[in-house]
Amino acid sequence: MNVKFSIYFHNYYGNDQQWLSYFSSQFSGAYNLFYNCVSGSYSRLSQAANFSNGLNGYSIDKAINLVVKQSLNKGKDIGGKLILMDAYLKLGIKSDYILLLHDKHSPYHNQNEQWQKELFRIAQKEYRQTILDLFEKDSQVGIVAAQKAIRNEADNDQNRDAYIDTEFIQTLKKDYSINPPGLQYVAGTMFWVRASIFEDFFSMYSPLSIRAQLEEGNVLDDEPTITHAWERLLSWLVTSKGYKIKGI
Amino acid sequence: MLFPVCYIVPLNLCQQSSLPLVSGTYAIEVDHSDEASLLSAYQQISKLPIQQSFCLFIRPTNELSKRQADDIIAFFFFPNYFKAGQKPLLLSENNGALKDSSFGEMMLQQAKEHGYHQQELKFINTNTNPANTICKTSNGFAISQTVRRLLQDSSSFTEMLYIKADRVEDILNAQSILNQEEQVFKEQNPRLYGFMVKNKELTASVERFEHMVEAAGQELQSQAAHMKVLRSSSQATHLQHYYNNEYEVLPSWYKQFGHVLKVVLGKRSFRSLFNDNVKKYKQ
Repeated sequence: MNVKFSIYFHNYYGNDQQWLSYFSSQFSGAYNLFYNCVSGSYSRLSQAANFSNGLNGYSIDKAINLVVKQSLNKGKDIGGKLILMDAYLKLGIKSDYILLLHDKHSPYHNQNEQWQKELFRIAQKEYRQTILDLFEKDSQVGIVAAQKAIRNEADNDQNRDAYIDTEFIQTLKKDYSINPPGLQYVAGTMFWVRASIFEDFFSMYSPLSIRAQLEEGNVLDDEPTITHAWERLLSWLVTSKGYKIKGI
Repeated sequence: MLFPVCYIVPLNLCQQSSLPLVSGTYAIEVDHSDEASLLSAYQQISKLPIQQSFCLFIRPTNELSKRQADDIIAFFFFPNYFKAGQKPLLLSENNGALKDSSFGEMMLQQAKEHGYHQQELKFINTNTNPANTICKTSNGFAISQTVRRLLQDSSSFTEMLYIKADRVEDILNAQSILNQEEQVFKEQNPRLYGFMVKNKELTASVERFEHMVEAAGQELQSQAAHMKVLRSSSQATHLQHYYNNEYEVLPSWYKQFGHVLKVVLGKRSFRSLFNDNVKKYKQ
């Protein structure tokens, strides 16, 4: 079976050629690669080679449908992924699955490298068939993510109630009709999702309108933010439709 | 070209044929009040080569909804959307009265919501322009005259020259006139031309460095915030090491048995062994 998929990749730190090589090494055949660059990132600006200056000189696999976008740092990777979702819908692209990724780097995280490695498991080719099997064998599987990234907000030590029963989160849930049965979500916003769920939701609620509400800059999650609320809501909009989250 | 050139072209030029690559910007006329038409414009423009810069040329209406503003802003996210520094340029034909209407306000407000605090919303009048920087491609003489004036007048060095074009041939013809005029100027004023080229390069460098300084400032702020978090969690690092040494090294069958034991001892809920949606720990 020919599975159609799209990758949404948000890039803050640059190294575009290395990322292209990474995708070429992990994915084969035809797929859509939606690639958002942060234009005001110091890391990107200090690199001579940059997607923003054009694609000349980059080796891009001809089978890839590459869609490049550029934005300011608003809503971190969530904001970037919303721009890519908007482009996906506007270009009328259809997929079976969407893979959400970004160049995860958490300098404030004690286990930064280990965390990054865990999250990127889902992009590795050796897990591809396992992931597709999870989706295909159970039509109620909506998200597949790295097992260690799947968390339950009830077990979150920080900001204990911020994303559970505060007015802040309840208003967001109400505005977007998101009523998840539990508080399970994928931390780090890197996961495979059944495309139709996102297509339906974001056709109803404009991704750019959501992005407009997110905070600017490299916001941290030591305080409740709308950006981090959407880190949860992107999973909850799936589980609220009765779908499950599976880990690998 | 020594000064920026902008070709105002109808959208159907993008649809019918591939626009030639020009050393300048295309201002593509779109009808933002028609959602389907704007969507079609988005799809057509996405086929432009990434190295060809463009911006939108719109005819403002008195009212603009947030959704319509967002649909226009969606174009700003194209990497080849023309931005002076970080300011996206939005051109609009106008008689002047709309400058203060809710259209401009809504556009600026929504652009800010997307991080563009300094959007450049430029209202120009393609019929009468006091600065005479708008030409029609059908009038080659006017283009030559305007180019000569721009080249002679150092104060208009950064001023944009707008050329209205309805056909691909007109664009090529205008480019040829621009190149010819610049060549003549170069031959007649070699030293001045050299200085102008250098000036252009240096101005671009200054802009690039200003952008980098701003980005570096933001980076420093982020790093300070990261350090604060790391300092505040030094105990967490210690705890993580303890956890790794005392628990993580154990075999997984032992750890799994431990979870069952936790249930037996009442430390963990029984249902959480089988259902990820229930609360795991009582405390």
